[in-house]
Amino acid sequence: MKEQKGNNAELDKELVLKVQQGDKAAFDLLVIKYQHRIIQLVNRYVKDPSEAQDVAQEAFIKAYRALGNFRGDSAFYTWLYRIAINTAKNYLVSRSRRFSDYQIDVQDAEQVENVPQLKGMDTPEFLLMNDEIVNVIKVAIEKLPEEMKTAIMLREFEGLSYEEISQAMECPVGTVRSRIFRAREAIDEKLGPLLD
Amino acid sequence: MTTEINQKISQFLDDELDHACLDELLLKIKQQPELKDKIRRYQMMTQAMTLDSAVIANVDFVTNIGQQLDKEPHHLLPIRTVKKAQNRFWQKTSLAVAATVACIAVILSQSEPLQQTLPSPQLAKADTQVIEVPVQLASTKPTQHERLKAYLQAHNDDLYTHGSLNMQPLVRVASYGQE
Repeated sequence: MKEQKGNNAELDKELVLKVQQGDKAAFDLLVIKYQHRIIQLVNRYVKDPSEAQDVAQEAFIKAYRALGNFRGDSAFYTWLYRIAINTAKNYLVSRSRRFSDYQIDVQDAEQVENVPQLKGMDTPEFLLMNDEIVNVIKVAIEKLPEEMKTAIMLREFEGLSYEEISQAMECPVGTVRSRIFRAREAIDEKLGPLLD
Repeated sequence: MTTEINQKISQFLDDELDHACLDELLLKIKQQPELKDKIRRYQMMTQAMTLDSAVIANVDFVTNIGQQLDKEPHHLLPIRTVKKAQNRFWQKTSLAVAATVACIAVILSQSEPLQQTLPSPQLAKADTQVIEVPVQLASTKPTQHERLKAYLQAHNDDLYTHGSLNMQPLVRVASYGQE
């Protein structure tokens, strides 16, 4: 599981501050950063992929409107998470749909994302695309040079910080930074054509 | 240059970006919106690697949100700023009221001795007959006092009722009319 580093909340806080000062690009960055997690979260309630994206969008819009009142008492993502759940529930209520009421504790936000049965987007098209993307990424990782593969795996699978990876691999932080980036670029080369 | 900014994106997603570089990244994203796609793909990689499932967000997910927000402009006013603005308003109002009251008090205090020293028309005609007119002064003085008292008390109450922070009334009526 990917751990949340202390810097994460700080960077988010800074972005939130910029949004509060009217910088919409900062909000775009927050959206891009969390869009996948929020869509996945909403998808627990709203099974239709396209509806889930609409509800996720609505959640982000609500968050933007409420950002003026966000005081940073909790982490931005925890706050956003609450908004997303409420938006999804309201959506289902408004659509008079029957849904199982998951009792998700807000504190468990990170754990919830990693439950394996989260794949609500189970349309044949989605499944096919999903399999293809996952496969391309796995093949690309296998083809990476050993030191790049180790760096990206320690980061993504173990959730280690650059500092921790540098200690584990006995190399400078700058090298870790570069290896992770180059690993991503190599994967992106294979992934890009698939998404275009 | 592109490599450098892409590396910053990678660091940003790993929460390893320096705060100083955040501004630069934001600026670059404004200048090159296609960088958003890069971030999206990097995010998708993370998702696919850790969960064996790739959530495919619409390419225009972020754009749609931006467009909807543009359609319904919403002004963000952080609470703290509003409170400060309100406080400033009340401070200015209180100061203006206090200054006005002070001026009135000064004018009234100066006009009273004038009335006392002015000779009545009867006295002007007959210099030899010097008659004091305490009865007349006694009849007007309480009226002025009453008005001033009411005014100052209203001012005093207003300041305390509206609770201007860290503000004390310039004229506080603790016990008026007592010798």
